Amino acid sequence: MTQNPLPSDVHARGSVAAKLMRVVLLTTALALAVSGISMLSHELYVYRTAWPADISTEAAIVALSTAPALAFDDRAAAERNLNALEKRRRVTVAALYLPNGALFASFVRQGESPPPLRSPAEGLSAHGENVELVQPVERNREILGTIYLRTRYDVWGRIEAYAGIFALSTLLSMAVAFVLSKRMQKSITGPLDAIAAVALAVVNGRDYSLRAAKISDDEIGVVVDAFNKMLEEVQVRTLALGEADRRKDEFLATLAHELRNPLAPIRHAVKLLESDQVEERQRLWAREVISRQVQRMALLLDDLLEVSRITRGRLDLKVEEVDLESLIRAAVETARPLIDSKQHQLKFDLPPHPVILAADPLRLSQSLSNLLTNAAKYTDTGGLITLTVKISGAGMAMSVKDTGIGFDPQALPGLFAMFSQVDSAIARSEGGLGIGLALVKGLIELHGGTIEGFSAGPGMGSEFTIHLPKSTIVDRP
Amino acid sequence: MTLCAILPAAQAADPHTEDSVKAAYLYRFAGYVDWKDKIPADAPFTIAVLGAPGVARELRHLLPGHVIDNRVVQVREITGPQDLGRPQVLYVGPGRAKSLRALLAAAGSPAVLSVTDEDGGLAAGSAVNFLRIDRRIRFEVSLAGADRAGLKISSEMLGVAVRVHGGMRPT
Repeated sequence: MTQNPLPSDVHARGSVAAKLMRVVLLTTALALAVSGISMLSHELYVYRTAWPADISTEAAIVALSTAPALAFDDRAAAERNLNALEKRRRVTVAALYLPNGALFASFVRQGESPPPLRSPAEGLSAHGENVELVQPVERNREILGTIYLRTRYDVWGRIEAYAGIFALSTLLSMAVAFVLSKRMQKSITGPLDAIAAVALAVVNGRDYSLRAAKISDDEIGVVVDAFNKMLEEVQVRTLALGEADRRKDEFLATLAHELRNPLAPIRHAVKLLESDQVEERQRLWAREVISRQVQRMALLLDDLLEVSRITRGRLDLKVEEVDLESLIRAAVETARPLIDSKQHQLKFDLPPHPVILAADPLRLSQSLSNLLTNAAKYTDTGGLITLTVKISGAGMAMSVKDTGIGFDPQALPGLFAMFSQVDSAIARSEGGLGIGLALVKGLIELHGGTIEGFSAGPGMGSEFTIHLPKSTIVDRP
Repeated sequence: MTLCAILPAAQAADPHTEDSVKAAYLYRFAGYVDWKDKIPADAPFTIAVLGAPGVARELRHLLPGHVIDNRVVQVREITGPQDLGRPQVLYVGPGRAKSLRALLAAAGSPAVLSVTDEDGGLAAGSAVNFLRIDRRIRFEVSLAGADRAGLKISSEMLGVAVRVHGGMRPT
């Protein structure tokens, strides 16, 4: 994970960061816009509903202060009182009328149109931004006149002020959001960067031993875990593929060797037969050699075909009722030449009564003879081979035990795989393709059974046991 | 409200209008005085008028339906201390200010808002004196006169007086 970030890596990071930033800024702007608009509408609503109360209060105050001037006909005092409204920015025009409607005194802010000459009807009225109020001036139950007030409610000015505040706060918030999210983004893009770097390194270097570092414990952390698991899986499978490949290569070499081995004696025998001065004894020997080697090649090819049939699911069992004893006899007959040639002792431990099985006699005896042949092959001359058959509630167990070279218990799982041999050197010296146990396993599994192997270690002998289910044993009548 | 009718701006040209303006002012003066605890319970609010039949007539005309300090307001024309009674407002017409002190001395209560209607009226002891300025009826106030009667005149009224004697004119 020390790879330099590649250009594409930088680009990818930039785009995620840019997307995040866009989301943050857009959300911020949207939230601010919504809150700003709702605040402004609320403010305007409150502002508008406050108008009547506002202007009424204003009018009441003016009425109170101007009542004496009206009561005692003091225009100067009235003007003074009205001019005090100069400080009330909202009030643009104010006027006092006598009870007969004549204008008594007025105040007009600069640039405003003057008040009506005669008192308008009482009440509140709005004309655009201007709100007008006409109400009586009363003192001691006596109506002294009417007051006219015109006020301006600058809605647009208010909106503009709000827009200014809103724009400023939006700008500030966006800036703060930008800075903050820039910092917080690293917590998201950081782990992503790590994965991206590892992914690129894996792709470019085909190094499946690399692992991404898990920085965060969130969804990205999950991705990192999954990614690492996938890498592990790929690594394991790559190794397994390599192993299978290697085994196949080895197998091909072995096969070529195995097929070529018999040719030398056959060629030698043929040459002998072609010779004119050959004795009858030699001729017989030569025939025997050819026959034996051909048979060996046929057996080899049969095994090969059978295994390939099993792996392709093309092999069907021909199940029939068969006597266990005849089955064992057939198997031993096949293995006998090798056992005898190595001067092994073969012992039997069989059930005392006859047993009838429902099985494919050919395949089952083939399996058993394979185990016997293996035992003979991997045991030094003069060994002991024991064939034991036991019937129990679970079914039947047939085991072949030898005093041979045994195997490392750790090699057990690979033992039943195709093309495997415990020790190539020995196997080659004895001949064989290393498909024997794979074939047995396939055949037994077709019978619904299992096979297990056991060895205390190299040189400690080995024992292989075939377990067949209870359904294989036919009840005796 | 009948008072409204007599308050047109154009005042003073003819005596009839002048009398009605004065009558309205007399009533309004009473409205700017604090009468709390100054009038016996159950007593009506009385405006006594001396030597001004025109003003008395206008008052009789406008007063019905009006109240001061939650009391019915009545007008009484008098000729001298003997028929003074217990008025709250005492108006002595033009040229009669010299009889004011005797009248006030004869009043049953000191709480009388005295109003004169001639030059030097305040010097004669009144609290309020009518003036004629630019053909309009105006008035001046003597705080000393009001003090003697134990009355407090509202600053609102003082604010529109032409002059306020015996004190700072409120702004």
